[in-house]
Amino acid sequence: MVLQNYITLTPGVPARLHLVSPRVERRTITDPITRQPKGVNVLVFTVDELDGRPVQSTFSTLSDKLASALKPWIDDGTISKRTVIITQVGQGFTADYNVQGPLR
Amino acid sequence: MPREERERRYIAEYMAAAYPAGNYQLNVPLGPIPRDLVQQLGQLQAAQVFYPTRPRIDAVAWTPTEYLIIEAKIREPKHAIGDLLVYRSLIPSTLDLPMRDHQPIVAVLVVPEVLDWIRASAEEHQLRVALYKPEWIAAYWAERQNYFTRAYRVARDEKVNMRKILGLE
Repeated sequence: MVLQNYITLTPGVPARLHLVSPRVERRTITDPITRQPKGVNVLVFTVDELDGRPVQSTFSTLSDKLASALKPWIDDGTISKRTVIITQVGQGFTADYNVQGPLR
Repeated sequence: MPREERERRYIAEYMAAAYPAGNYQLNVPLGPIPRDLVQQLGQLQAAQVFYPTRPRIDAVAWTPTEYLIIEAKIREPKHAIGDLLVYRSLIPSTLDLPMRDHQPIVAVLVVPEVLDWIRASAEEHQLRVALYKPEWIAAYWAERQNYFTRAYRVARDEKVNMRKILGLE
């Protein structure tokens, strides 16, 4: 069992995740441009497997692009039946995601 | 006001509906990785470094008999047809396509309406056309049609002001 509070994606490196308990949480972050606090909706998952190893961790994203890719599997209830492979491309505002979700 | 990723939503929903087993990948890089970079860093790391600069197709899907390269467009299908031709031309030089095993390539255009000129152009270019029109498309089209009208601008400004007053911006 690997202890890791939060999963961080490394650009260009695929992460194989088993995502469970999807939920949207309201969080306050500091806007990187205005430096002012602001409320945002964050898509959050519990992660119990990372790259084939059991973990107890959390994965969250602010990215609407990534959320859009994952949403159909959340809506149809199959996300926990899949291994979701996410590769981040770029960083910050230009970050994009390559996503695959084969059934387990 | 946050921008909605409708094109991403469209392709993600289509792929989930058309390939429920998940035999597909979204936002896939195409084209060659420079040989000198591969020699310098090795195939894997070169691919990681070069990844952001490669063109990316909306999705690829694989079956035992076909390898599908898929581009979807809610609006501007003409652009998707052009993109598909470019993407198809890049397939032979793309050495890291996921799950490619010599299946023949099938280029697929996904649109919510198949107009006659789309069908004609697709036939001319040997593209398969898939029709996908979820319920939310109609509301999106209505919004687009009204977007530049005065009434829509006024309503939109009011909504933005309310979001600021309520601290939602």
